[in-house]
Amino acid sequence: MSSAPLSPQAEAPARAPARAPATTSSPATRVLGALTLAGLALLLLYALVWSPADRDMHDSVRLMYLHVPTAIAAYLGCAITTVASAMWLWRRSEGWWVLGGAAAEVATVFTGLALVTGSIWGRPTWGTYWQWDPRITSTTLLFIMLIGVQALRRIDNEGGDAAARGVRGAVVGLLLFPNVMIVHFSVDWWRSLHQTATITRLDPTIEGTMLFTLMLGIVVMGMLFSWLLVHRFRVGWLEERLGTVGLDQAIVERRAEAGVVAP
Amino acid sequence: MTHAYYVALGWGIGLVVLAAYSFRTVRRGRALAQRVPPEQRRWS
Repeated sequence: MSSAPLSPQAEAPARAPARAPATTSSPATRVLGALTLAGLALLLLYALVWSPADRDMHDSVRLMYLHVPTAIAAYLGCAITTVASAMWLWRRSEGWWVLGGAAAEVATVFTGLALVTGSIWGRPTWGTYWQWDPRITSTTLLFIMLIGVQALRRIDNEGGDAAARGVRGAVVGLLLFPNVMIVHFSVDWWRSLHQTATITRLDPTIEGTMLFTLMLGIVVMGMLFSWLLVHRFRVGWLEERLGTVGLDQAIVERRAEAGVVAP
Repeated sequence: MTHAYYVALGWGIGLVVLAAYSFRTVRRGRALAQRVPPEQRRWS
């Protein structure tokens, strides 16, 4: 037996092939992530230091720069889930299915945060953490519906029909954006503790540094939402791939057990 | 600063939740990506 060392050429095949890093990130998401972090740092400075206190709400107004942007990001997530649900019901394509699930999960996080930060802001402003106000009630309903969409997509009844599960989840997903409309207009339709539109009117009721900080918050939360949505979409995509890989593997194993040669 | 407790609580919870969810999503993706062939990870 020869003990001569292998030449570099002979060693080459034994080396692990060059592979892309096993993550859900890409150059674009890394740039977006860095910009989002920088934006968050700037937002913190404006929200907590550079913007003035409000005449009536004093410093508790600083919660607005988190509460309103998270609520708007939640609305965006619901809109994407509704569109993806409709497209999945129409096309039945994997991409829309994965997007619907990703947007619903990210929207759940932002809706939950909007509820919690609103509750904390409500205590110094209204004197209570919770009130069955039309906007709070409709937002709570939205949060429950978002959890419902995800539960319906995942419930696995014995011998469950995946298509039926998908249809049920998608139908609830279709109802999300109409509920967002109810959340938005609830302050006009019913008597509410919340004030009516502040920035979506032609003459916004806040201005100067406060308006700029609020807009900055909306942009930064939008960037964070996008970054999370892309990563969560890729997680869903990988889960689907693993399901496919697992199924292919199971078919190969069953065929091997039965002595059937693969076509 | 007035209402400092509420401002710190609200921002604290918000940032911690967003950071934790981001971290969990990236870790989940990393764990799954290691089990999927590179050619099926279209973004890499």
